[in-house]
Amino acid sequence: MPVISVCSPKGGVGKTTLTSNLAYTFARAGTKVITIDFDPQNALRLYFGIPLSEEGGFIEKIESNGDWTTAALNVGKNLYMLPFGHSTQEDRLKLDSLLMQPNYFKDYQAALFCNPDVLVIADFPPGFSQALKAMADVTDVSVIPLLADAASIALFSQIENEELLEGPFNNGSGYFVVLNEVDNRIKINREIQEFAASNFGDRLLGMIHTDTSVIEAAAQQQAISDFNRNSSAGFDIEIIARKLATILGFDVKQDTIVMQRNPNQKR
Amino acid sequence: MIGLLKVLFILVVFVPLTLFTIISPMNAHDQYIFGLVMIGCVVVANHASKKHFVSMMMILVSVVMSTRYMYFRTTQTLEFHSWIELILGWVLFLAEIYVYIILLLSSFQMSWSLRRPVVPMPDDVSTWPTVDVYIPTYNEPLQIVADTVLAAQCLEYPKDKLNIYILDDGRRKEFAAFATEAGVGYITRTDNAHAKAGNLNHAMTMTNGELITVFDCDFICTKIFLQATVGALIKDPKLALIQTPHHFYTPDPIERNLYLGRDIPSEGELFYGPVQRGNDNWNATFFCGSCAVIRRAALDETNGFAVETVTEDAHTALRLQRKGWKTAYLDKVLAGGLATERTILHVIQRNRWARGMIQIFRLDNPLFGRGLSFPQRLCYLSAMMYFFVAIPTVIFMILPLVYLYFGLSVVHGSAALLFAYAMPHLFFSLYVSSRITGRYRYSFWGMIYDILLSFHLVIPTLVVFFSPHKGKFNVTDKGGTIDKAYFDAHAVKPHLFAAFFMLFGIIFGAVKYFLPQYFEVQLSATVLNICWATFNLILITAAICVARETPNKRQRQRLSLESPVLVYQASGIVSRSTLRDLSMTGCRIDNVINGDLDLDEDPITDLEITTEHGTFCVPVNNVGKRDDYLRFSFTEVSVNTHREIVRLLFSRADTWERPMHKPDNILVSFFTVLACIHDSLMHNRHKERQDIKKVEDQSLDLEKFEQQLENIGEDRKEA
Repeated sequence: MPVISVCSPKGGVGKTTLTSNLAYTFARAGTKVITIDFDPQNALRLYFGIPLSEEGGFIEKIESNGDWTTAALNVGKNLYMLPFGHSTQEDRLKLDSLLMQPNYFKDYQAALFCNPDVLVIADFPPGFSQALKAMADVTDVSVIPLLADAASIALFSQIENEELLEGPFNNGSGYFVVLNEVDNRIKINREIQEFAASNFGDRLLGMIHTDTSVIEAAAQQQAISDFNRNSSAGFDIEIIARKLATILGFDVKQDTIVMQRNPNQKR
Repeated sequence: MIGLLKVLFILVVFVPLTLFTIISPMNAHDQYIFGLVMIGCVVVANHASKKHFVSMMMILVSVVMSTRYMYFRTTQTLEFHSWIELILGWVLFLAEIYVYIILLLSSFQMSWSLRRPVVPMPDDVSTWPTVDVYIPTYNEPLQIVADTVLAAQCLEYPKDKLNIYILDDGRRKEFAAFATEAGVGYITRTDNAHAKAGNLNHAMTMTNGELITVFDCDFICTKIFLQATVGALIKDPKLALIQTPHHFYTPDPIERNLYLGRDIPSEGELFYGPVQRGNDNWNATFFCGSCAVIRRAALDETNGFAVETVTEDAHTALRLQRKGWKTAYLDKVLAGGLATERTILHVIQRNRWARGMIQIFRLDNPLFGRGLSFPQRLCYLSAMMYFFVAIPTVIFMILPLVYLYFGLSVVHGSAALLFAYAMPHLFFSLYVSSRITGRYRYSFWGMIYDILLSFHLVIPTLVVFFSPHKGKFNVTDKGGTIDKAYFDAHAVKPHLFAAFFMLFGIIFGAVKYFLPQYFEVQLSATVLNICWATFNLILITAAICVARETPNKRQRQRLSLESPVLVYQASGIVSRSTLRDLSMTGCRIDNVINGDLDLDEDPITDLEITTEHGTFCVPVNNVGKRDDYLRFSFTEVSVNTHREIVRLLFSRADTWERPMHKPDNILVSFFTVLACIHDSLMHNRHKERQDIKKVEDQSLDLEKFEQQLENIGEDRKEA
């Protein structure tokens, strides 16, 4: 089953936003999606309308080393979500030690990854995490959002040299960069876009315009397109989703993105 | 063998037959029948076939019949009873000889038309020559020059082989600043010696491109201009010049004031169609000052652009050709410019052209001197001779009055005989040119153009003819606007006098005709002269109507297109929409369906327009809102944005392509002239146009919108 990991060396670059909106986009286009939140902040669920008070998640399953899928929630048509859950320091250390085992996901969470009809999109905390390292084995594509600001330029070489995991991001198609909060009205912003484009070439998957619709939609726990169906950021994310689907070998049509029965050719 | 037979045929059959046709005397009745038979044959032939051979035969018949008329005039009509009649008679006769020579020359010039194809550029870009683009300017506003410069920057040519220069004889600070901002060269000099030619020559000492392209500062080129023209210069190393048409995207005064909205070829189309294509066939294309590519190596041999006359362009080409260089004409509209705005400016411009061409005629006559082939001499001669047209035109206007007022007979012989000879001559010159050039100039319009200029040009023509070193270059003002309709009587003062005398002459003639008992007149001659004067009166009235200047807010090139656009609201919400049309100062987009879009509380501040060449943002003011669309004016246009808009509006390969005009129909054209006069006198057109505007923009106060744009433009100027 296809897995997309959304990670970044830097915080606040829009990983969670991108994860949730990619999930919405795929689900709407007809692909079954499950998002996994590996960030202890446990914030991804808020993008899917799960109330603050609902604090369950896969972290509850680590004590028993049980099947995480039982903690997954159905949050919409074609759309599932596996929250991190409310955790203590001790829980998180335990999770990390579990994840240290080689092939943890293949060996212990096969249920989550064995369903060939479900796309997994995983959201990670900023920088290195044990979860990211462990997921690398099963990830097909890593998506790295970056802001179109001067600080991001410093990270370009770090990403190109794959320093985040001190090794390849995954065994699949490798990493792709998404430039977030681009604003063509600002000269420096345009220049960073050009620099990123020349630097990453085909590895630059797309750009997302600065658009308050994103924030408004998140505040109202909606998909961007439900808040503003002409949102430019929403459109940009849809383009990115389609490109990802193509990379993963899905059947991309005008209105639908359908996973092909045998996506293994990309493995 | 076949060649020999042809020569024999020509010598033994054709030449004697032609001579016989020309000189056989006939009485009025026989000549009349003969004329009608020939007319009948040619009309049938014209309808039967559109082949070139048939056209050639028609030209031949036309020339023979005109020659027959001239022979008749020479041998039978030059007897006069008084000194005054002798003088006037010869004046008319010389004017007719002039027209006859022009007929012969232009028949030759337009008989074989060369439709040159575009020579593709070589695949290896490294072999492409370096090109300097010169944009000479003197006093034109930056607003106009900027479009030209930015369009030149959009030329598809290797960046390292293309250099663009503004040649500013006005030495204006804002031009230097603009050149820097846009990233083009800026060249000035300490004096303005030799005007435009001097300016170009000076620039040649400062740059070193292998090819030189000249764009007058209002000519906006398409992106393929160089790729369409340079190929020919690469392929043929002896080719010095390739000229392309001058197309005007604003209406000239005649179009705007007289026939706006009617499908009538504009003045330049004849020259930039059959005439230059015909010249090209004889390797006699001449340079027209703009929209051409010239080889530096060739100009080096002629010491640059010619400075001796006020039409440096034609003279430069002539000198290049005397040195054995070839010239070419590519009949493909690759740039568009501004026509002269007002009638008086049009007259001033043509005054310069006439003076310049007559200067060349006197100082460097193409008939003499070395280096030219005989056909080249004829083509150049034809072009220069044309500019004497003012004198015979005035003569033809005035002479019927001499008979009507004073009863002086300037042509000896009976009116019936004269008519029998003149009728086929006049008919054929009209009918054949209608066939050969009818898609490029409709019947009678050429006469209107000539009449409009004629009275003004007589004196300058004579002065320059007798003292050819006189003559200063004057720059044609362009890009102005006319806010209110007014009649520029100054521009047509002599025409008004002439029309007045014609009207009274006709009335006087009619009185004479109807009261023959009191006057001693030849009735048929009176009728003939009344008809002639009436025809003149109609044409001169048309020319006078051109001086009724109709308002002309600068026409904004508005392009319909469909392109994604992002709409930035003050709150930071960004939505997608579709751009529907775009002009230099504003645009229209589909109204965005966005739940919270409230333009009062959360106004749209910027648009981001994406094209195949990239993306640009522009701050905007919402100036119109409807359920289906939103209209904006641009509040601040950076040079880069400006360039992108120019690219979208003007740079497309097909920007200036227009459908062909319908073929000419002599009668229809005559009635169209009458209708144009009627509309102009009744002030119809102006009202109509206003009505159309109202229908188009019911909910949108267009005047206000335009006003806002105007203000913004002025603000920018001040800034």
